[in-house]
Amino acid sequence: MFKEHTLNTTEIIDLIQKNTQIEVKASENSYDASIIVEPKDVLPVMKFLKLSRDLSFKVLSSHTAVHDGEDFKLFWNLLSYEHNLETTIESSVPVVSPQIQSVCKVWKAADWLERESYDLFGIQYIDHPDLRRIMLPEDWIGFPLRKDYQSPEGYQDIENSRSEIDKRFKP
Amino acid sequence: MTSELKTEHITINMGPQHPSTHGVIRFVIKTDGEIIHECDPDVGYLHRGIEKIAESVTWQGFVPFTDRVDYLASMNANWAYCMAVEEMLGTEVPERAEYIRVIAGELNRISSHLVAIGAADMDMGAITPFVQLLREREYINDLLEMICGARLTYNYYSIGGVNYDLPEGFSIKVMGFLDHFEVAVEQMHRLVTYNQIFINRFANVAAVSPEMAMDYNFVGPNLRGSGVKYDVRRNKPYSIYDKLDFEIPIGTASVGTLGDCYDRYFVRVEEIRESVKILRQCLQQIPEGEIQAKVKNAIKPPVGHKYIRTETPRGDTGYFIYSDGKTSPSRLKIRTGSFTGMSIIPELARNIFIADLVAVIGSLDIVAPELDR
Amino acid sequence: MNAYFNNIKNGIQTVFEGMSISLASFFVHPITIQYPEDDISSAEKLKETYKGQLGPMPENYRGILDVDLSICTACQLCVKACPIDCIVIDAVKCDKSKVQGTKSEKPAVKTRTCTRFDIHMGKCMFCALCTLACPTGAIVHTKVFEMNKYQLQDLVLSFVSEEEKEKAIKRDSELKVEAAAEKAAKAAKEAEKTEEEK
Ligand code: SF4
Ligand code: SF4
Repeated sequence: MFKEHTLNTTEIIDLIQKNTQIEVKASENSYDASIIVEPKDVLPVMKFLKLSRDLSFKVLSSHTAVHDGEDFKLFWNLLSYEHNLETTIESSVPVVSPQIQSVCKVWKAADWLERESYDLFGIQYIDHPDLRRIMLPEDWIGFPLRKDYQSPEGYQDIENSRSEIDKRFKP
Repeated sequence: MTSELKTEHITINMGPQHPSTHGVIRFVIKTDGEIIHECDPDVGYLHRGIEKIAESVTWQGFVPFTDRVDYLASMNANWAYCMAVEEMLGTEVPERAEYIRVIAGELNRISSHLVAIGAADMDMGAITPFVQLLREREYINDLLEMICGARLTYNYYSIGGVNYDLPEGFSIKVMGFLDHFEVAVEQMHRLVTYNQIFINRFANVAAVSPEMAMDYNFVGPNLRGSGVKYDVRRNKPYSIYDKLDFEIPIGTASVGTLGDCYDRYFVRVEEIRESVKILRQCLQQIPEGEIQAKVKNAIKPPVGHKYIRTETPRGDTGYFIYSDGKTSPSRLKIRTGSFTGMSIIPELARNIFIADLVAVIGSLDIVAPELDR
Repeated sequence: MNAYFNNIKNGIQTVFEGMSISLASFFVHPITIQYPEDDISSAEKLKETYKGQLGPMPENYRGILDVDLSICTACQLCVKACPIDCIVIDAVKCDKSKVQGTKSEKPAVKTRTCTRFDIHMGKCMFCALCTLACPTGAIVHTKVFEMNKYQLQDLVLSFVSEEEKEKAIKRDSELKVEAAAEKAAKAAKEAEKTEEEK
């Protein structure tokens, strides 16, 4: 049903470099191998990955961000059902100006996934058709999944304080 | 004399508390008479910040929280998380524990599909099947209660194995249940699947083509309903699924178009049968032995990221974990089937009847806590 | 025209098919327990009413927590295991003794005792992580699940009474005095020894 040989990360990198002339490199990570792409190159690389006959990553399985020090690391997990392939694309943007090209045009699934990471991390996706909060209320202040996020005193009329009983359990 | 009739779209609100939205979800619908012109799902009412909680609890301490991600299939949610951490630590799970995991997971898959089917029927106005199917689910609840002591939020899987061994006489009880259950499935077929009214409501409604399904990252029964034969259990086998013999049902457009609501529904029914098959095999093959691998008390996986996918009842659930070598995850993202399934609604709901929107939501099997996390 | 009549026929057939299944349900045993009229704790009575279809609660049911303080060694492992901090333990020293836990054959050594053992049942999520972590089996889930209370405060279970606490603290200070005396005696002996050597 499926091809015996599945491409590994180095072969995928070779394919990208040969066909798009964009410099990408493999990341050193203890678990999943991933491909590091410069933020400005993300959109063309993604387009190639989807349209290439040998790869045809037609599915964007997950997209998320990680707050790591001065940077947001962005991850895209791609799947190819035809070739039974799986890969991770990695990129990073600085926390002070978190801007990246949206990949909505490549996969429709990116729409909500990007809205979610905008909502929780404050990453600005350029050319996203409808970038607004998805989980939190529209008037929420701050981006909760950032490491330096302080939980608010309250929201509208709801007070966010710990009860006397809770304080006895954990001062 | 001609007078021009001025028409405009009416905006109506469906939910958040609505019996057929499967939890607390709100839909803002612009309608033209009874036809939906635009539908904007407003999600997030059940957002409990589980991903943020993960950053403050220990690796083992997060397992009970995964129960709350998907309350209809907590076993499978536990499984996905535990497997991810085990892969990060390089822990080998004992074989008996793997069998127990499959047994518990498949039982839970059946019970989850029963609710999915029953709720879809109830949305169509058929209350009897829902009650009948919940009765069957009650037997499964009893079985799962026997092994772990809880009926809904099991917290049964632990990192490196399972928490309790199977009690005595469990396999006999499960076998007895399966015999009884196969009859019940037949009855359900008579009651729902071949029911003309039901077919008319579900067939040819909101068909999703295979390309569209992949583009929107449909997973699980929804994806297979569109005719894409992809199942993580088969295509990227984990646990002991490569040793088991089972089919992957896909949508065949038996009464309508490929990928319509009926196909998605029918794939679930067929999957129940396959689960019964898997359960019988597991109960015959299960070996004796350990149920828990040795795992340290304070887990600290090395720095790195891992993305693990498992096949839960609502499809391929992905856990993306980023560890920075501390006692709790630095970032944990849960990609669920309901979330991506829901993102198709604005496109799927265009130019269909309001009553059909209910059918679409029912057939996509959306569980609100899983959607919002 | 034919299709029209066929549709009517199909519709009626379908309805009757469903009705027959519904009607059959009149003749099966009840599946739901009439709670709270029925006594769910007695297995015999349940068997009688429900013809063996329903059993009592399983042995390992995860109900509200109970602590057997006599075998608790105040090791704090349950506190560390609980993900939502709903257990709190304060402990002091006590007379050294051996206690026989329920989990292993070997008795555990008890050198500390609790002066405060509170569990916030209002927050507890019955995950059993504490019972699994406990080395002696002192903390267990009971089969009790009814715990409606009028006040949130009443959901905090305190297992150490005031008297016990005072007793433990008193014994602790006595032990401290004893230990200090012992230490002083030892030091005096040492001093004597060194002087002798000189
Ligand atoms: S059952 Fe779970 S939540 Fe409750 S006290 Fe024990 S560890 Fe904490
Ligand atoms: S883990 Fe057990 S023995 Fe240790 S403090 Fe808790 S209840 Fe006592």
